[in-house]
Amino acid sequence: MLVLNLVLIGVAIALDPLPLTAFLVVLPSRRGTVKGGRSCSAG
Amino acid sequence: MFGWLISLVAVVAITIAATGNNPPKPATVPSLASLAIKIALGAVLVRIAVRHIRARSQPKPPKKPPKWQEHVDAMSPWFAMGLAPALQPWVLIGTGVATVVEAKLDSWQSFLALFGYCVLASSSYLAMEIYAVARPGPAQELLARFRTKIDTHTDQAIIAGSLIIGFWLIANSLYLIVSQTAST
Repeated sequence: MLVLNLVLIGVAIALDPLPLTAFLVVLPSRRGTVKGGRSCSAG
Repeated sequence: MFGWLISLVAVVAITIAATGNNPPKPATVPSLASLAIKIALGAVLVRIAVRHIRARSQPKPPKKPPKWQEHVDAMSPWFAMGLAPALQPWVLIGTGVATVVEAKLDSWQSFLALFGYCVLASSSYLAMEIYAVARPGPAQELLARFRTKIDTHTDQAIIAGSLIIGFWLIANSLYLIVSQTAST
């Protein structure tokens, strides 16, 4: 039951549209991949 | 991404540390309290869904984007890292915490379950980040399409997700409370 609960909550967190929208604003921005957490840039 | 992952892992680690890796026994006050918290959080999620259902029937005024979005190109990576915890879905993180309270890390399976939870909760962000680094050109186009889709389906996603998780938490926790108290 614990694993089922964690899977359900994990999926819900991963697909929550509000933080996803924020991430989708940051990632395509200038040096967005750095801000997204990597040390190389998309442009 | 790091800010997101760090805050998620920190919440899980603090929860495990707080329980002393010794989850509360069934039918004890801490166990019943964690189930009551889950019911309360489930009710909050159902309330969020109801509010969005009601708001859908009313005309929406154009929404002004948050201030930080206007300066996103000039934003420093440190600011982005600090922004991540602020944008976490804390009601869902709270339900995760109330669930992690029941975990006992005494086998590789339990470690794997908690590690899998952190990876699963971050999977959409990890996938987008990896794709944007590996194929920057196509990723820009895909991310723009993805954002348009999310913008037009935000309400439906919030309503469906909140109702499913909310009712599941309420039903599951009520069942556990009834079965735990009946067996004592």
